[in-house]
Amino acid sequence: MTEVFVAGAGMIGFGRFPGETIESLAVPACLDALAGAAVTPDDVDAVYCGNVYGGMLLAQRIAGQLGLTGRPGYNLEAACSSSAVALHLAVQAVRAGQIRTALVAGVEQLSVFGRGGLRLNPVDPDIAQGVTMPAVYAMRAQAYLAATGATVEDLAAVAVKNRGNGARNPYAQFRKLATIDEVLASRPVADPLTLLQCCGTGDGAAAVVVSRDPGPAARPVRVAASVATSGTIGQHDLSREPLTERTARAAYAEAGIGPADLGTVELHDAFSIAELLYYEALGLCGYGEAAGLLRSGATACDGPCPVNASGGLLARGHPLGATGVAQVAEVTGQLRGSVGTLTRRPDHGLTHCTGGGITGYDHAACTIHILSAA
Amino acid sequence: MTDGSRADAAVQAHATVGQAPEAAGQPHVAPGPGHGRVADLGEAPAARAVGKLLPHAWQQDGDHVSLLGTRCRRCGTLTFPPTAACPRCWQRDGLCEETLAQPGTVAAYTVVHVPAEGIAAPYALAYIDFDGGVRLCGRLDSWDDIRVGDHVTAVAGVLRSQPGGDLLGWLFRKARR
Repeated sequence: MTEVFVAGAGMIGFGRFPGETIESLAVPACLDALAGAAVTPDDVDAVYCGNVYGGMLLAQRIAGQLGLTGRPGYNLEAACSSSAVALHLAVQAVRAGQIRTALVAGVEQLSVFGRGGLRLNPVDPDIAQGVTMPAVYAMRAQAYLAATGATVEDLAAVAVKNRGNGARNPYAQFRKLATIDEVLASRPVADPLTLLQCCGTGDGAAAVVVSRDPGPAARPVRVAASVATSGTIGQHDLSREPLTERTARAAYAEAGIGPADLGTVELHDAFSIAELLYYEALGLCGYGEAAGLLRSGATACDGPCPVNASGGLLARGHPLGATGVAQVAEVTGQLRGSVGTLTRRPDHGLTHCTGGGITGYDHAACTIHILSAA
Repeated sequence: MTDGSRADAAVQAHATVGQAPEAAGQPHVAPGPGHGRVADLGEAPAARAVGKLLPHAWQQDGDHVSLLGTRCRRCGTLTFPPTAACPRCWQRDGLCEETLAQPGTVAAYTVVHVPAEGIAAPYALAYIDFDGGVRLCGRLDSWDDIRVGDHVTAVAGVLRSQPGGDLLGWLFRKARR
């Protein structure tokens, strides 16, 4: 199979930039990725864009500002998984030999909608009844705590770790340390989740160039696995994450490695409970063992498998469409040794994001990429 | 669709998620149900009522609500709300209406403090499981003594108050033993 490389990566610091446009957020990230890959406009065969709320033809709008007109532009929406799905399709196209090189951008500008939270589809029956994303994860948290004996302090410890990591990441939107007590004393959002256990809303952009060519970096980064799939409808066990489990199994099989080989993970910690559920679903530990794994320090920046060394969604921020590619840009930097938060340079890293918020599904869309320093 | 219409649709939508620390502003709290218990239809400002959630999927008989799904005669799959085709075997003919067997069972619940627009916080949301594999998300009309595994039945109620009027639907109430 054709090897695909992350030849270049870029992102902007996440935050709230209501005075910008969505194009002006995306362009600097794209230029950094293109410069990193040392490609010219003629080298870029297609532009892929992941975004949720930015309106029609965003790939074309961004391409227009980069001289990348006159070639395919693909617009992908999969809620929080949007740009990871865009990347997945770009990787598939390169692997298939349809194209040699693609620019993949993820961008979102939530600040223009004001200070409230994410807008979900109002005609969805669950949303009409008052479902919020924190409420969905809160119910998982209730089920997980009851089933495993994990505590609210364990949930808070996720936020403490990731906010601590974000404090050292210049690209993170939230750079304030928090203690367990501060996390638990913050405003209740949906029991047992408090405000500091919930990701914020904001703006951000990230981009990667994927190509058959490894690019000029001294340590090329290869896409060892790229898997995207969807959830199922029914009465699944809320204390487990079957969608991520399935996606991870396929990704490990594709990469030919297992969870023990990973030296860094950026996973979808939209809410504190998510990180514990996804430790288990990704196979970093067994069922019911996530709190122990966190307490052991194994997922801290100086542990054997740092998780969300960037601060994750909780601290880096979660501008939906930007997140998937931002995770890949982050891990690419970690594998190259150009990102400062890790104490040792990993050989393999995994990125995971998952989007939900519609009736019936356990969770709707999940995407996992495994990156390896070739 | 233009950019503007999509943005407008997003602005008009009604859910709140992922509050940033600085995003914890004033929630939209509309006049409506009291703490811990949602008003019955009779107490609600019925004159303003304009909308029903999934009107083809429920029938009210006094306080009680029957939830209507479809059962596929070919493969037996039960679906809620009613569908035009079986999602399992794609059968389009031979789907028959079937009332979900109540009570349902609480699979998980949470009390929401940062509300969706048009709903007074706090309120309780739950996943309710029914025989036949159907899981619904719904509101509880009271949660003081609710536990996972409890049996609940559907009752009529106001789901949210919004500028155009109230949205009517069903809530779940702990079943009497």
